Amino acid sequence: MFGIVIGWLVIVALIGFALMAFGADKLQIVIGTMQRGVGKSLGSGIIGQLAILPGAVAVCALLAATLVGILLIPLGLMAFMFAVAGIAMFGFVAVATMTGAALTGGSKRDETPHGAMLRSFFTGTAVFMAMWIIVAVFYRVPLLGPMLESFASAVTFIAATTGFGAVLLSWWRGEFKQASTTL
Amino acid sequence: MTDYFPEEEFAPIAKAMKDLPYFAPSPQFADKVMAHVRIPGAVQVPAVADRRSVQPAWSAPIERRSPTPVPQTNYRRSIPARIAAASLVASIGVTMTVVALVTLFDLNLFVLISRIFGQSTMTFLASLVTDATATATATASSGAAAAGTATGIAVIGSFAAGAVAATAALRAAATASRKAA
Repeated sequence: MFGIVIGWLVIVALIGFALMAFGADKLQIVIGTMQRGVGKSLGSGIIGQLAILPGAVAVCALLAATLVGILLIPLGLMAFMFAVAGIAMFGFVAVATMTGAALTGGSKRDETPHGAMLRSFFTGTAVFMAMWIIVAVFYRVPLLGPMLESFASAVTFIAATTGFGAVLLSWWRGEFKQASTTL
Repeated sequence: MTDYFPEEEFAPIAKAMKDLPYFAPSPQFADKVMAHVRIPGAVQVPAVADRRSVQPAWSAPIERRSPTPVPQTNYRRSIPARIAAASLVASIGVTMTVVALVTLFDLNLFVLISRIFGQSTMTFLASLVTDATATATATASSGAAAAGTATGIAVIGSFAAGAVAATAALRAAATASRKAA
């Protein structure tokens, strides 16, 4: 269990760092979407997750329209699942950053916005991972272990779903495009 | 500003801004001052009517103005429509190209490729469906079996509590981070 938690910590940290290096403006847009309405983001995330299976079927149907497309169905499905996982990870990084910003909001120790964002991200990620480390510690305790695991799963699910929905909502509103046009 | 403040926070700010005094002096102050300025030695420039009385062929210079903006309709298609159109065109284009190439060069090659990859594709899809169904059935049955026990109820309760707590915490975090920004 500890290995899985540490592995996820490394993966989330690497992806989050890459996102901040190459798409900090996009991350800020998603955080802004969540700040304007957590409920809307959560609802969009649930709808988006329900649409994953029909989306995969639609990919298959579109590719199956032609003979060559049939051969590409496994590749198309893999690309679709990678896209879904990427959006979910993007959303989770945004949620972690927002949580960290709320926790470190009072401190003005960072001279640049990117520095503040990095501090917020690592604080938020540490909070989520600390929760899972506690789960790993009590994993073998009867009743308490499954209860903690279930609690942590629910928190992570809500966080990932909200982030997923915020990314979809920002994309649907065309905020990513507006930001790139402004820049 | 309403993008950054909720309505209930912005309302008192707007009221306070309305109560602020206007800037003094008045906006016409500069024109009124310049109307009294006389530059010694400067020649009075004749107005248009005076100039025409002296020189009938003269016409006032054309004033340069920026063109009137014409409202333009945004004809951009939605992204899903563009993806669907692009995939349709790409699929048809690739198919037609492959068909043309295979027909021209070697028909047996086409049959061979479609047999190999076509079979593996169908096998992959069938195994995917079987695995997904088996996983869903096993999860549902184990969940239903566990729901009756005390542990199951505690776990389900923990999940519900976690979901509610996480939603409330995220709302609080959103408000706090917005205020901190």
